[in-house]
Amino acid sequence: MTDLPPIKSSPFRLILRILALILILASTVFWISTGSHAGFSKDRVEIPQVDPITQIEYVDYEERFVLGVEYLALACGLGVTSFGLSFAFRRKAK
Amino acid sequence: MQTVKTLLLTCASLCAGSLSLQAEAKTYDFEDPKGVNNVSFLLDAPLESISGNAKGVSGIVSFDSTNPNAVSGTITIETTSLTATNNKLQEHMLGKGWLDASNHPTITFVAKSVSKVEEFKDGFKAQLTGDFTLKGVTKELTVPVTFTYLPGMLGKRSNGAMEGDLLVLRSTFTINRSDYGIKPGQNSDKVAEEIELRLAIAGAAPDA
Repeated sequence: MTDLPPIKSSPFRLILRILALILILASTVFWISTGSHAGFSKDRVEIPQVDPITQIEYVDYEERFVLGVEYLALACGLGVTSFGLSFAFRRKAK
Repeated sequence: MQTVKTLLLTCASLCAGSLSLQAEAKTYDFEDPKGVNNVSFLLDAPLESISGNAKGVSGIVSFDSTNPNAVSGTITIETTSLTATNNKLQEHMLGKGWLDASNHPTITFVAKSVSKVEEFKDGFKAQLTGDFTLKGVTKELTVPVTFTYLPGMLGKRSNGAMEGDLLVLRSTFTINRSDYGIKPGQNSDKVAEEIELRLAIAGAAPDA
């Protein structure tokens, strides 16, 4: 029996897979840290208030960015694409 | 002679009664330095739900707590005070293609008549008919309104700076954006045709 030749992984293959991991993980962590908002991104956040005399409900706004699902989907899409592209760089036998 | 005297007395008492009724009507100013008065809007389209708020509310309403049928007045909203949670969305909303705020700086409701008045503990529920103007188009609308009368509460609200009464108006109604020339029939997947408006405003009538 002859030994198979050792296989050397293409550096691009590894770089694309690390990039995919970073994109998916970083966007997910950022999305969760800004409140896991299920809608589109917000540049300000509504803070519900009630006037004690009239009982009128109103909102004040806090200027704070909240990542929406469109950026999460875009980052995850790029991650998946990057992972898929990594298969184009084939392993080379030494 | 007795008949003439009785007639004169009756006339005098009727006039006095009418004057006292007239005196009950107070003028409420809805300019709100506290930033509480607001109109929120909600559009629920298949792809996107848009909501926001407007605080640039002003207006004068004449209200008589003993005769709610005699309501009259105007409520004005500054178009540029409409706020959405997304800057890009707000820019589009106020832009030429949608509300065209630069050419149509105000949204108004002018009360004309009141019907179906029902009394409750602190006020009245009624159907208010008036002219609603949005983006330069005026349509007659009949909307349900709750009038909550809070006598003597202005002092508490202004921390004693002024004495007087408060009147709280609440209303929720729906308009169709096509009726007001706001991109009729376009972008219906992202921007709903129907716009729900929720108004909650308080007016003050300081004691003379």
